[in-house]
Amino acid sequence: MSTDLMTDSVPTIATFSRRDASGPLHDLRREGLDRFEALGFPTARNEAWTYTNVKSIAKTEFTPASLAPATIDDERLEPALFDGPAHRIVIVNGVVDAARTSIGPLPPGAIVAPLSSIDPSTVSAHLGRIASLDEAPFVAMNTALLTEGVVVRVPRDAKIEHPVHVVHVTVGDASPVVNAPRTLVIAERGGIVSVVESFISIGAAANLTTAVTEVVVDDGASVRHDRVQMDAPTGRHISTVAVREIGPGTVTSTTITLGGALVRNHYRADLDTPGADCTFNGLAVASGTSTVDHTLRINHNQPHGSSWQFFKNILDDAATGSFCGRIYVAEDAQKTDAKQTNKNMILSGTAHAYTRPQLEIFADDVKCTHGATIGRMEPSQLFYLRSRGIDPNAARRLLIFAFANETLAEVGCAALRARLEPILLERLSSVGA
Amino acid sequence: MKNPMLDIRNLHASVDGTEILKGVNLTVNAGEVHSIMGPNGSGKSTLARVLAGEEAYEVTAGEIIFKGRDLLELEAHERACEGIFMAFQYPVEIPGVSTKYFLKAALNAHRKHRGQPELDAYDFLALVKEMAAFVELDPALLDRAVNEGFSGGEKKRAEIFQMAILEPALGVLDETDSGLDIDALRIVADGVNKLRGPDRAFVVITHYQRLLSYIVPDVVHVLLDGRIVKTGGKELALELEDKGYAWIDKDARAAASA
Ligand SMILES: Nc1ncnc2c1ncn2[C@@H]1O[C@H](COP(=O)(O)OP(=O)(O)OP(=O)(O)O)[C@@H](O)[C@H]1O
Ligand SMILES: [Mg+2]
Repeated sequence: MSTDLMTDSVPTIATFSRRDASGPLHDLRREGLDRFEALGFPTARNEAWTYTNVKSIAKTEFTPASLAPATIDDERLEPALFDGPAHRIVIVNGVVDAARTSIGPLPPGAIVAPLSSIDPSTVSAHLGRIASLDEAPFVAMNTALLTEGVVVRVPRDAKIEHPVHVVHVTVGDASPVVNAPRTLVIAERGGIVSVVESFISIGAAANLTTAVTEVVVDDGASVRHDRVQMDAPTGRHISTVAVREIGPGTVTSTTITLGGALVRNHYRADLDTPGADCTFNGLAVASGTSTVDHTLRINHNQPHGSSWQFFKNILDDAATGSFCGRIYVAEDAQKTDAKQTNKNMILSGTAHAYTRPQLEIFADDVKCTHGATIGRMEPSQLFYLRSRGIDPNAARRLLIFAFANETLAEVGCAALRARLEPILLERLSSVGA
Repeated sequence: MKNPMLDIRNLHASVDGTEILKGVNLTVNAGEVHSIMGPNGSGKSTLARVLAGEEAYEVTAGEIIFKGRDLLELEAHERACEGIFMAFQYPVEIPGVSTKYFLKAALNAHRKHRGQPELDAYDFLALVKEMAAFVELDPALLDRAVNEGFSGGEKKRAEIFQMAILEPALGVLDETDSGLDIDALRIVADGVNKLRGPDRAFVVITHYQRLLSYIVPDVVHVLLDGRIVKTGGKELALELEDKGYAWIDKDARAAASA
């Protein structure tokens, strides 16, 4: 990878990364920094970054978020909150907001805690080990900046009763900040947990959130993971969700993207055990000149695994949506069942969608399907609604919502789903006009 | 004499530049049931869709007067609120839109048009339940997305169910009988018969006399190559069942060349 875009943002990150050499996360940060410096920012020549240009990010001199302490008022936080009981941790610019953080009773041996409050050596087997740094400059960048995060561990055969809700807030008004949220979810054999991550970015600056979520599951464990990205119109958000199954469990991870000028979401699953099951769902609503990019890599390394990827984009104005879904099936991974779908609804003459399925199948007895659609609203559906008295505008809204609703229904946390419905309706009321 | 509910005069309509309707004349009075029969491709669905207001069908000549108003001036949703309901020959599936939500939106659009307040959730559900029973529609279907995964017969029944809820002045049924089993046919026909009344009219498009023995029409028309070439009483349907369309074709050609 080229380093010709190693510009303004690197020195501040390096300085930040190297400080506090005695701290427990120092070695990990150092590893991230070394890799970040070696990789540099991807250029448009890099095929994996064809549709997302990060030049503006490379050229920005960011302040690491934890050096820019900030607060958030209730009104700004409110859209991220949902009703009902939850273990909630709010982190603003890399610092835990103690007043808004509350963790209820947990089963014995379970952990729901800020990274800073536990001994990181207890999770060093997984922290920074699930999300690979290979060819992942923004995971490397996040790791170089790692000071705080959230650890969720559900022990053997236990269930964490209420959803774990992590709210990551990035605030930068005068000068841009880079925030490096990190969440680690460990589900041991038979463990059950629901984790919700809400990302908010606030402020006029072109802030960058580089979120990394690592999920590791063992035999019979079940993780429901939901993410909501509510970035400011100027916000940039480059995230990675990395799943590793070391025993055959079930992971369903659903992302709803509602804002941001540039959003790039990486999803990676390493299905390292026979019979693993992993689903990624995504819905993005993009307008203005925003770009939204979903890049997936699913590694079926063992037989009898199943994976499902279901991604939808609603694109208005001059927005761009892209999807690149790579499914790798190793020679030994017989009886793999993989299904990939990408659907794009285009609401204007100037929005663009790009979709690239990439199947690399080395086993001969597998079921792998992919399908992609890029299209406008279906005229026959529109006419059907209108023929029943529904005015054209309301009919369009109904169809846009219907398109979105299919993914909303996949959100695992019911309380979040209920909260998202009006938010999504409100967001959709501003597109396709 | 009372004005007719629907008066179609010399209607010409094209789709993608091809003329399909070539001068249709049809007058339907309140309280009447008219049946339109005719071979495949003769323009029956086109006529229904022109009545419903689908823009893909361009009216190039003629006029349609509905309840004294120029129908062609109204958009599809306004026509529906004014009382035109078309039961589609092929109802579309709309994944993601729940049937109940859709019906509520449709019904409230009608009520708003009539200056009535929105129906509250309780009354709406009561109405939906009543009408589902009316056409013996499995209420479980109402929790699914509009027409999604419905069987052919269920789709047709759902159209009549919608009609019963929206209470149109004019129901245009486009081959609602095709795909129905014998029991369903009777149920649907009973439904239509119960909706018959002095202020309501129906245009029933069908290929089969069987439906017309349940929904007995006042008038039967034959549409051939975009024109109504023969009009008669209910016995015309029996004659068509017996003899097909060829003899009419011959008569019509003779008449046209005369
Ligand atoms: N978009 C189109 N472009 C060209 N021709 C069309 C188009 N849509 C319909 N037609 C033609 O118009 C004619 C009338 O079609 P229509 O659906 O009205 O027939 P119909 O009488 O309802 O037939 P059926 O009994 O099979 O339902 C057909 O020949 C059909 O192929
Ligand atoms: Mg037809």
